[in-house]
Order: sequence, then C-alpha cells, then structure tokens
Amino acid sequence: MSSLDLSDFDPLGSDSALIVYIDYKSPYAFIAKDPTYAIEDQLGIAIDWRPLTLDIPSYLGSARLDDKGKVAESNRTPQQWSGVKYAYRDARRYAALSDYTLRGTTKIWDSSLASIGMIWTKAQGPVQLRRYCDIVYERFWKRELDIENPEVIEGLINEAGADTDGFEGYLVGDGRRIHDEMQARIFAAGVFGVPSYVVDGELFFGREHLPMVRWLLDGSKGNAPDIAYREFAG
Amino acid sequence: MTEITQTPDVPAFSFTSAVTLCVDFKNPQSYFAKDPSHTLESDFDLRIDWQPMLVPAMTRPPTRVADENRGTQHRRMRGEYYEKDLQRYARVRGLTLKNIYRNPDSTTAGAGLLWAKRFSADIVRGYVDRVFDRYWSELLDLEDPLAIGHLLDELGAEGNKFVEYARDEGGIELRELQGALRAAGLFNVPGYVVQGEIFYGRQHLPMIRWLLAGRPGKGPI
Repeated sequence: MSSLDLSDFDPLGSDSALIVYIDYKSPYAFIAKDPTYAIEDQLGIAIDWRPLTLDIPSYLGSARLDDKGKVAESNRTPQQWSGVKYAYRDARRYAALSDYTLRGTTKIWDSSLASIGMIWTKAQGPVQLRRYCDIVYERFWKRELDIENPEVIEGLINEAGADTDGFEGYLVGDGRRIHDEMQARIFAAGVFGVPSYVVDGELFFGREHLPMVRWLLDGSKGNAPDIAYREFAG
Repeated sequence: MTEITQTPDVPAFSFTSAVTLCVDFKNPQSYFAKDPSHTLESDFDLRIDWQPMLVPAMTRPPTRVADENRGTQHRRMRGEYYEKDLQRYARVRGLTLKNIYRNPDSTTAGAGLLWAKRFSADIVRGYVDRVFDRYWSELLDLEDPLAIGHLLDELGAEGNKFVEYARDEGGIELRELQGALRAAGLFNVPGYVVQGEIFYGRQHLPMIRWLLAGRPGKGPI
C-alpha cells in the first residue's frame, strides 16, 4: 500500500487550506494538538497533517538520563540546557491545564517509525489519524510507549481503527523511502521545527501563531492578531 | 560587553510585585512586549516592575554555503525565519523595526531604567516607551549616557545627575541585579515573573491574565 505519491509533494503547498507539521517527540507539538484540532473543527477545514521527524542533536545537542533521572551523557552547553529545561517546564504547565501528563524523556527518541505510522494512518482517513495522534502523544508523554518498536507502532495503528495489513513491509520499504524523502524535501524548503503551520505558502513556527493562522483561514477579517497562547474551544 | 557573569553566591532576586518584567532594550521581543504589557497594567490596575536584563544580541544567520551541515543549515533557516517573523508582527503591530542585528552594550540604557525607577511609575513608563521607540527607529544610542540623560530630563528625572550615576553606582547596581536575576532562574527576555513562575514571551499574556484573575474556568493553552 502506498500512502502518498511524492511526485507532486510540495512542502509548502497542499490541497488543504492548512498544513501542520508535527513530531510526536516534541512536547510543544503535543501541547499544540488540541488547539489545532479546535481550529480544524471550528472552521470546518481539513488539515493536511504531516510528519517532521526532528534531528534534535543537530541543533540542540544531545543528552541521556539514567534510571534515576540524572544526566548520564550530554554534549549540551549550559545555555542549551537552560532552554531545554525551560521548554519542558513550560510545556508541562500548559499540559496540566488539559489534564495531560508530560514527563520529560530520558533520551532523544528516533520518532521516524511513529512518523511512518502517521503517513500510513493518514491515508486511511482523518478519524483514524486523529485517534492515532491522540494515542501516540498521550502515551508517549506518559513514558508508556516505545515508539522505536515496530510492533508497538502497528498495534497503535490497529487501535486507531486503521487497517495494518501490509504495514510491516511498508515500514521498511515504501514507508521508509517516502518518509526519508519527505524529510529531506521538507527541511530543504525551510521547515525546521514543530509545530509548524503553513497557510498560503507562509510558514508559522509555534502554536503562538494559531490566532494569526485562524485569522488568515477565516478571511482576514478585522485587525490581524498578535501572537498568543490562548483558548480556541467554545 | 552585554553579558554579566553570575557569581555563585549572589542572592536571588526577590520578586515582590504582582508582575515583574525583565527586558533588554536592544532585544526586539522585549520591544514587542512593551505595549501589550502596558495594556495588562491598565486592565488589572497594577504596576509592572520593569527590570533591565542584559542578554546577548540577536546574531545574523550564517550565510548559506555549499557544504553546509545539517546543524548549520538548521541555524541558518531558524535565523532567517525569526527575522521574517519579527518583521511580520512589526507590520501587524504598526511598529518600526530597524536593523535587528545591532549589538550595542545596553548597560547605560539599563542603568537609566534603574534611575527612572527612583522617581515614579509614570516616569518608568515614559522611559520604557521612549527608549524602545527611539532605539528601534535608530534615533537613540543606547550606549550614550548623555543621550539617555537627555531623555530622562525630558521626563523630569534629573538627567544631569544620571550621567554620574551611570558611571559609578548605576553600573554596579545593574551588575548586581544581573546576578540576582540569574540566581532567580532568569536567562532570557522578555521574562515575566508572576506568582513565582517565569514566562518568556508575550505569547504567555493570556496565561498571565488568567493567573492574575484568580484562575477562573479553564486556563488558556
């Protein structure tokens, strides 16, 4: 099963009004999930969700914690550590508002299998994709999920209500090829982080831009809004 | 010189106001935070405790080269994006934003804020407005004590005495403040401190409002 034909893949273009790039190992992408759903539901649009599998060590250094949560290995600068620690504290306080658990990870995960699972599930429908995203995010951030295990990913797809027939081969064949080629093209197009939003070819990095994204999608009525983390429900 | 090294035994800054806001006049995000923070003050009838905090200036993204590795490419793209993003919201907000890569030593302008705080909240507000607006229109040299003194004079804040203050006591006071702020956990601007929590960036203002209002209903995410 080929979930995506890359011949007409445009990192900054889509048939959908909104492209959203996510990575399951990003706490900020996790926190952006529900406010982004809210915009999708309120405006009645179909979001083109896409995976951006981050290569974190290339820009933020790498680190691994031991069983007691102490740093076992690290090549991060003090400034990088300050930024990373703040990012987790920040994401955690917002996660708490939605009753989500957000535990710091003990290593930098390779989330490419989960990304390939996303591409596979997306091809089967938006309902299955949303369920898959919810399950992966919520369990991963409770440290209940090994997203580097192919069998685990297949189980999640099944649980999301999507067909898994052929997924095992896809994961190491077409899925891997499509994923890797997509990543190269996405990065080359200037999309470097998650969550990222693309409206009419314009890139917005971070959920603080959701007021602007919503304003653009809703016809640019009135004054353009400033950045803000805010509630969109209701 | 823009960074002041923290000494390990410096006591942490004690936050006594409902909202403390750390800014650096050469930092564009601090500039963008100014007006919405004034609105916060008005809406909640409070006085923000503005504190000068010196941070490194924005650095120009590296130039694209043929054999760029992924890390360099990432930093370049991120830098290019941030520049576009700043200009995008400057347009939205109707703000003038000249060269974002200038790197003045903002110590004197920071000392000016400490000096203004010796007078009144209105003078602090006037000082913050004028320094930010003029610097970002390239009409003010943040390193020039005479220019800062003149600006303080405009506000009725004894600018003539400021020059001496900036040369001696002001520099020491500012240096000690940097250590105390860092000891309290601050490392970036604009940094809001509300109810013991640090928030970097004006995008947190809905959360700050929610906290100040007593956490009614569901918080903003």
